[in-house]
Amino acid sequence: MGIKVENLSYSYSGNRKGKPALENVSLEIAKGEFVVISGAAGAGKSTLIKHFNGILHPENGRVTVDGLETRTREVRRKVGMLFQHSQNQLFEETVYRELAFGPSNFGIRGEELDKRVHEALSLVHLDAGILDRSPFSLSGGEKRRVALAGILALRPTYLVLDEPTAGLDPESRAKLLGRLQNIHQKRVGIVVVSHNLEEVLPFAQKVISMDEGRIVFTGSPDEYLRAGYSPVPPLARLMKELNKKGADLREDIFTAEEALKELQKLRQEKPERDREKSEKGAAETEAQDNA
Amino acid sequence: MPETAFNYVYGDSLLHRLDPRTKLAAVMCLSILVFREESFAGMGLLIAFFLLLTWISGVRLSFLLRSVRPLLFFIFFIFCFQLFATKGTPIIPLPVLPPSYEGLRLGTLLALRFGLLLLYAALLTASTLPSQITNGIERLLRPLPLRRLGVTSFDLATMMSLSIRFLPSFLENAATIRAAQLSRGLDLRHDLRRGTTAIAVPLIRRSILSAEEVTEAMESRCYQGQCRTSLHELRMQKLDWTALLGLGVFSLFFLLL
Repeated sequence: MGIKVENLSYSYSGNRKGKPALENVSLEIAKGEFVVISGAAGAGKSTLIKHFNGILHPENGRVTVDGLETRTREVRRKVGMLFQHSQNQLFEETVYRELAFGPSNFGIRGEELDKRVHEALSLVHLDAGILDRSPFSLSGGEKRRVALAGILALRPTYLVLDEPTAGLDPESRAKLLGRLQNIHQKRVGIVVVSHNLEEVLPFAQKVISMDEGRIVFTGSPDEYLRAGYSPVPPLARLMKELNKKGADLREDIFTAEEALKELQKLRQEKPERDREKSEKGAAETEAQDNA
Repeated sequence: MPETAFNYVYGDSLLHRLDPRTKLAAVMCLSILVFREESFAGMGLLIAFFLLLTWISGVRLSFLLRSVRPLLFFIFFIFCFQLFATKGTPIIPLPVLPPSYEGLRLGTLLALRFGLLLLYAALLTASTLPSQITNGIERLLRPLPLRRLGVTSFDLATMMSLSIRFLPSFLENAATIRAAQLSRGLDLRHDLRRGTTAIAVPLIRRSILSAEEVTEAMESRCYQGQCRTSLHELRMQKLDWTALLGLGVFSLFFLLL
């Protein structure tokens, strides 16, 4: 079960002579897994995820979701997909109708629909007071959350997000990632396409790295860092640089807390030298002051 | 992007080298001829002239024919309308709306007329860059007292080139929004009305917003439409005057015949 991609190839029509957008891609995403797909612009990430819910159909190869072909309508509900600039997809008169759009397309009505709308709203931490407002009157960040809630109202088994944090301020980023983690804890599989690995790697169980339409790496975040692929998150890079200078630190570091712990280890290892240094430094400043 | 109708085809033929004004004038002149023509012989001559120009331009005929395809249904509709609605000698005696010989003649002429019009226009766009067409139109409109109406020929030219420039990004937006709504379970086959709103509302909204952004970007670079200069000033060559003379002779000969 899960999302299964076998030997998928795809090229955009009209560009048949050029390079295919995807070449012989195979991967598996298990139920409830948190996966990060990384790669430079034009690596084929967006083309790949459009195959997960049947927006695009494979030219060669096969894509199945829980054993279902992606041409089946049920797949659209199972795989919730949030594209880039999701704030642009809003169109209804009220937020309520916006959230109801998805489930009602699958024939959900009445009380059940109402329940879904409120459930989705609370998942993105929005107040029920917003339901009667026009989506166009909201701020950019709120629009994004409404768009995400619109997908969550489908109760997807897998949630696929294309660059979800692009254009958000640092605080909103952190909050969004926290929400994704909460959703993940509810046994929803999450696939995030991002080139900002630093922020998503701490949550990921699996990293898939793409380059020019091929998968070049699949594995855990630790393995990703150990294999020496780029881009490397800044904290891991710092550890690497310190190691080059003679330190002995772990390089699979994703969060500031972990990094702090490692750096404190450094201090305990060489307390004397540090003290010497700081004393020397203090002496120098004193000398300068005197002069 | 797939090859679409009315695209430019790179080339260095006689037709490509003509001044865009010459070509615009020629298309206008030929369109008048196409619309005035009532006989099949004359239509034949205009078709032959089109084929001659196509041969000179070096553009594949199949490429030009592609420009007619989107409107084929419309042309067919006009043909049928003429065929069944014109009174005259019936081809098959039907109780209601019998197809008539007069209708067949009129319908065929009209279909040919629309087809030729599109083909000549396709030949213009295939041999002239969009920016050149805009330049040509701007120069042709410059002597008109448009300023009294609050616009200048420069404004019109800017509007045209901006519209052409934004067509690809408009189509891209449309594709993205469509994919997003399909992902939310929109079924275009079952609910066309709802589908149209779900795609049109965000698309129009997005387009207006980006138009505003471009306006601001242009204003912050001091855009003005009173008088603009051009990197490639148009200049009529001997070739252009010869072509116009040739066209004049052809039209005169055609009208007198």
